[in-house]
Amino acid sequence: VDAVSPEEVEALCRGLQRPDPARARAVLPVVARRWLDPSDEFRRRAIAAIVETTGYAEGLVARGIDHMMTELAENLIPLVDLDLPLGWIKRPPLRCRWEAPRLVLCVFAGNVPGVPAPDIAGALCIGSRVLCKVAQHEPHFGPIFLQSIAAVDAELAKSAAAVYWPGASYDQLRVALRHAEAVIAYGSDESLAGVRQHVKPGLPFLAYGHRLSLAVVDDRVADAAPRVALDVANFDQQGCVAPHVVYVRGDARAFSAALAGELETLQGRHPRAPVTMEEAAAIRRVRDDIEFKEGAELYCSQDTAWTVVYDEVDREFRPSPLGRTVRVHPVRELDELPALVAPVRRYLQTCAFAGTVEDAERLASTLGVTRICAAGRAQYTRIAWNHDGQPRLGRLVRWVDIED
Amino acid sequence: MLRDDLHAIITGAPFDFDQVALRVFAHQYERCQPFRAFCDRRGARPDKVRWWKDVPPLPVDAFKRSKIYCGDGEPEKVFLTSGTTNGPEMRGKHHFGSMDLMREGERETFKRVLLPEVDEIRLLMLAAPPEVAPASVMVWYLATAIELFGRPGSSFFVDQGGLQLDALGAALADATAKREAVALLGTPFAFVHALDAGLRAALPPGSFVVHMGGFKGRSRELEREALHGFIRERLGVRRVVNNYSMTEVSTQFYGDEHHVPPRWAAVRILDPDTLQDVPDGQRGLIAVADLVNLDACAFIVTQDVGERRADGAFKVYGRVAGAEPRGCALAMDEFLLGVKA
Repeated sequence: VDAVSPEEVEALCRGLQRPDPARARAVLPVVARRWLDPSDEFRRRAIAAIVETTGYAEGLVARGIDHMMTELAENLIPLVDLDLPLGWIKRPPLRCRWEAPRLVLCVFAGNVPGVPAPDIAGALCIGSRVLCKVAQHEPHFGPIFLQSIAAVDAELAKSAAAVYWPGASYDQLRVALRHAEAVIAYGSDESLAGVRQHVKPGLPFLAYGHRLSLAVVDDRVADAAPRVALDVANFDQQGCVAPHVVYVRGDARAFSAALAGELETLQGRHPRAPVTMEEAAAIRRVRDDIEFKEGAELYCSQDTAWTVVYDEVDREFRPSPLGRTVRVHPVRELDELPALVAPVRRYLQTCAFAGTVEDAERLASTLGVTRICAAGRAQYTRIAWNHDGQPRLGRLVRWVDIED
Repeated sequence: MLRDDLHAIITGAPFDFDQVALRVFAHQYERCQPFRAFCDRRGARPDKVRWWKDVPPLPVDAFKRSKIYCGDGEPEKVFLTSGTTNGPEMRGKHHFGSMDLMREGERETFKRVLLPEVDEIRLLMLAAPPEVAPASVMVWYLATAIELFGRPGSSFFVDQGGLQLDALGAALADATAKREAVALLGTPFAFVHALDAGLRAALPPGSFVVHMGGFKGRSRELEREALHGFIRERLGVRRVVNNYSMTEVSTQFYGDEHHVPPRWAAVRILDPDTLQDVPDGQRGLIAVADLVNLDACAFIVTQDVGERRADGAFKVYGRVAGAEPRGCALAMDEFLLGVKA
């Protein structure tokens, strides 16, 4: 991927047109629906490029794109119309209207493909220009998505651009930040801190950093194992939504064996991406520790493709080395969970859940997570979600009140 | 008897590596339940294993949770690894039924590699003596070196008060005045610490330095070459050698850029994903077959990254990134840092 120069960033930012939000709201669902057609050129190119650069299983990449585009087609416009309707709204005794940032800068990470789509679409729907800085590890989806917008509406496409520069190269970032009135950034805590130091205080800065997720399962739910297996296999746990640990109320050992069987099946259909030496060694290390531990059991592939660790002794939440490596711990009561996850509470995000609605509602207030979804849906976030506990579009805009 | 045969091998008897390796495997499979279970889970039984590379190497972490012991009766010595991240109860233990094989192995390699032209030398150890660090196999190795090869004046120069810089300086001055070659042995950290504190000398010809273990992120990060240059410049020695070893085995691997196993040991480099050998010249995890590691396990896979050359020599790059730092160098670092604090 070629990096752009600071001068090119300057020229791009100056050249972007302000989008008409009404037009964006009409066009984007059309764009998204096209992606759902298996023969769509942009879809096919994007999937091929993502598989090539990330090594993720093609079937799971396609499923992720299906989900993302369905959300955009069906739920984006109802969401923006609800959260950010056009024109004045009454908030007695005030009248209020929101003003969009002139330009939203999006800094994407490479771990999960497809993430750029809702941010780009959302910004256009509120009338913001968008400059995307794509990641070295997955630089393709953003530009292809913009091209697919251009194919439907060339005019709207003049409001967004996707470019690459190295994450640690701040000259381009500084230029972009002279124009941006809001920033959305994904990445490690370290790379976010690097971006943050250049963002002027007071500028909306939506930073999505390290998060940890888990699954909670009641063993009376019959199909919990295949669903949790999908959450573990999807993008090889590289997404912050993927469970590191599964807490099972009931027979956790039987669940571990079932989960192992499902991961084995998934490996046949949707193999894990190749891992680095360091990643493989980290997975081996988890296995080496468990293999000789009393009260623990190891289920795994011969290579490092998938690993299920059953451990009834040390049940505190411990982050996984990822790459389809998951720990399973038994609990007698869900009330035990807050203490078990306490060490990582401030990082918690998604709880993939299989159980009763009452239990889900109880966990919502005790666990410290910001999202509870059905097991099997961890990777399939809704466009309306309050990402890491905060609304997304709503944080980009500036409200203006008139007191009549 | 196997032990007698291993003694003979150390002192030069011809042998077939594969054949002896399989005898050692059968012996250890028979005697060590955790190792046997580990092998059984991988379908590796003595009647099925055809050559030594079919024996699954035991991860060093196994020494933390299981007693890996094949000796007769109570062990003569138990040494501890220095990993402390999970608390002292999670340190690996190496039980030796008898120290004889390790002692003879040390005698052969130390003499052949380090003292080819003389039988003894004044040994100055930048380490604590056995009374202070009885659980360290590195310290046992140093004490044994003094016992086997040490001229009068050989000593340890770390005590409860930390590095005894004055005493060490005096020993170096004395040796220099007498034109007596010396050897200094210790962790890289100990050398950096001593040189940073101002230790200088122009040591007589024949003097050399052996450093053991790596930096492991604990002290000044000096690349190997920079460290060697620093030592050569400050101490006036020409020869600087690294000793690569670990608590879980019985053999030292000496080398500068490449380390060469003695005849009774071999090194493989494994892809951690598949645990298959990577081609020579590629990086992977270092696995050691140390046939004289008779009372524990002769087949070990480490968490160190290495690269093998076609002739069997290997390069050590240090701990695989992301793994918990451990090893004898760390123990010494912590000791020195601890007494300084």
